[in-house]
Amino acid sequence: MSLPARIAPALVLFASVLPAAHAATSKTIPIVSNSTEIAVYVPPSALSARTYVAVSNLWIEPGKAFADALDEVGKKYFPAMHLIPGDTDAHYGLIVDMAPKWSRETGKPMLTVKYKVYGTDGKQLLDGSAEQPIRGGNLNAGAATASGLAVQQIMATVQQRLAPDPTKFPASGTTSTIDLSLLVDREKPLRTGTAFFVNKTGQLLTAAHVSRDCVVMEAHQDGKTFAVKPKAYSDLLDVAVLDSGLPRASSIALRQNQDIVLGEPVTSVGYPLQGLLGDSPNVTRGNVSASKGVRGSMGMFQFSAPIQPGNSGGPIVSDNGELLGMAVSTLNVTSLANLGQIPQNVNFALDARYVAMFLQREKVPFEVIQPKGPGGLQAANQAALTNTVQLNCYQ
Amino acid sequence: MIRESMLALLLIPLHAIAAEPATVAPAVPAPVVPAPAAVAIAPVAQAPANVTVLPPMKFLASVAEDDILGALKADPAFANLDKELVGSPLSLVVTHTVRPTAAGTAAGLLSAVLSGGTLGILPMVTNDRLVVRYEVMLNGKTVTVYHFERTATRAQSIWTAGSDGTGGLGKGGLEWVKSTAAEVAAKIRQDPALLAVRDEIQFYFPTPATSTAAN
Repeated sequence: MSLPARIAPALVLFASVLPAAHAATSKTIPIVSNSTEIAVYVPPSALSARTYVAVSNLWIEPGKAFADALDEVGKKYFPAMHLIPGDTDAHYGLIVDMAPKWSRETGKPMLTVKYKVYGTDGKQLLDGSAEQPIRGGNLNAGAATASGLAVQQIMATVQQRLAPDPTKFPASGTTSTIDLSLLVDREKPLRTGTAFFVNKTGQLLTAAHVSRDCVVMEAHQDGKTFAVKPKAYSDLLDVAVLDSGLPRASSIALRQNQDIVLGEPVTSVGYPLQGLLGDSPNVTRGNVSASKGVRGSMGMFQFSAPIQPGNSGGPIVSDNGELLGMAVSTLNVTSLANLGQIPQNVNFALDARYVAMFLQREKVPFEVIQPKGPGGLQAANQAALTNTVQLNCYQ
Repeated sequence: MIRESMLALLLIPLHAIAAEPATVAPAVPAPVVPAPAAVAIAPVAQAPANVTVLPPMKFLASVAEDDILGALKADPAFANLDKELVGSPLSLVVTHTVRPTAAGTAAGLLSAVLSGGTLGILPMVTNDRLVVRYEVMLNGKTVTVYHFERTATRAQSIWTAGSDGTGGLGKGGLEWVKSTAAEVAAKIRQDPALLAVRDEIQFYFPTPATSTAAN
């Protein structure tokens, strides 16, 4: 048994007596209850963030800490506070947009919350940043304390700088009509992936894990950007349909009967490694390597065309340009390398036969075409490149 | 110690994380399972009549993995639960947490000081809150969660603390964790969200594995 393991119980004991905390507040900042109705936007991923630290048998839950701080501290300043997006519609006079970030860039754990305040007309009234160090060895208690102090700092600043009251900022807005695209963090998308048009009505197919929990989604193709909205998804198959509302001349058709031939050439198109590679689509070639995925997987086949993070949701097409599948995952090379094995080009796609079943179930139209002749790279490129877009997910 | 594959993925999704993944679970290696050759749905054990057999699920636990797995599989509904189903979209993840209670913090600290002062002749007495969490996930998204909690007071030598292989639970705590398996099995097999997933699997991958066994 290692030394850290031996002393772990004692460390836990000592850590637990360090500032304990439920959403702490500072005594130097006065708490004044204000009756102005406010809407508060926090990226949903920031409110659900958590991780399990195996070495200390502990869930670290910064998301819960911040959510509790809003509820316990924020509502002391503004009792009529409504979190957006929410399940119920509510009136508001001000919008407070918060973006908490947890970091330890300088070696010290730190919570930084950038915030902006808007009126009901969308005009920005205030912006700023609140920083709080995370103190003590108990990370959950430290996160709760830092969250409480940051929320307090922001709410007190809003009260001091704007002097809000219900007559100055009447609750004339409704939360359901707020344009969330103005509130999301545009500096960096939460994640990026690939999507492709599956019919000529402008509906796209992508992986569910790319579009999951996005507040705003945008597609990019040939220098043009357009918004897309979720229409249907299956977490089981890891597939989702998005709607652009933009009818078009072409889409990728599925192969009739969706039969896949082992060893047949395939082309993968995607937008991997955004920020590192250019914004143009990335085309790679390979073969269908196996008709199944790893043990226990459902509806997958294996292919060898190289793919990278960002390829998720990209089409895997035949040399005739028929859709054979959609890229969803790859073997974790780092994990396997630690076990002494280096896999090469072991990638997985959702078989188009399940794409077809999903589309039929969700009543999404799609086309099928008969395989014809040997085809080639040009036909594959023509089908895939013209119908594939980069997808950015924002919160 | 948590199993190496816990919360990490042998399979990794291919979306590019653009934002700082400050709170994403750390990636750790997973055991290797030779790719394919296996069928998409694992073979099904024979189940008694009128028993709802849940779909195949990957099983991960932070403590007493084999014991909890054995206790769960004693319920016929969990016949398809398997540690090696690395590609399964469904997974059952068991984690445990041990934290001192508010009342036990000061007393535990004093006890630790006394124990240290006597070079370990006196045991260290702690009062902890034990939490075991059973979470069913579908391709990384939570389907359902069940928690069990209790508090426990125990005395332990400072020289052997942390080396009993119970993940900080103590022997009594470990037995309690194992005892929760039967209770959670009864809850999970009737969970509406999981049964909805089972129905979806049945739609796309029809097999007796996920259906209610007929008489």
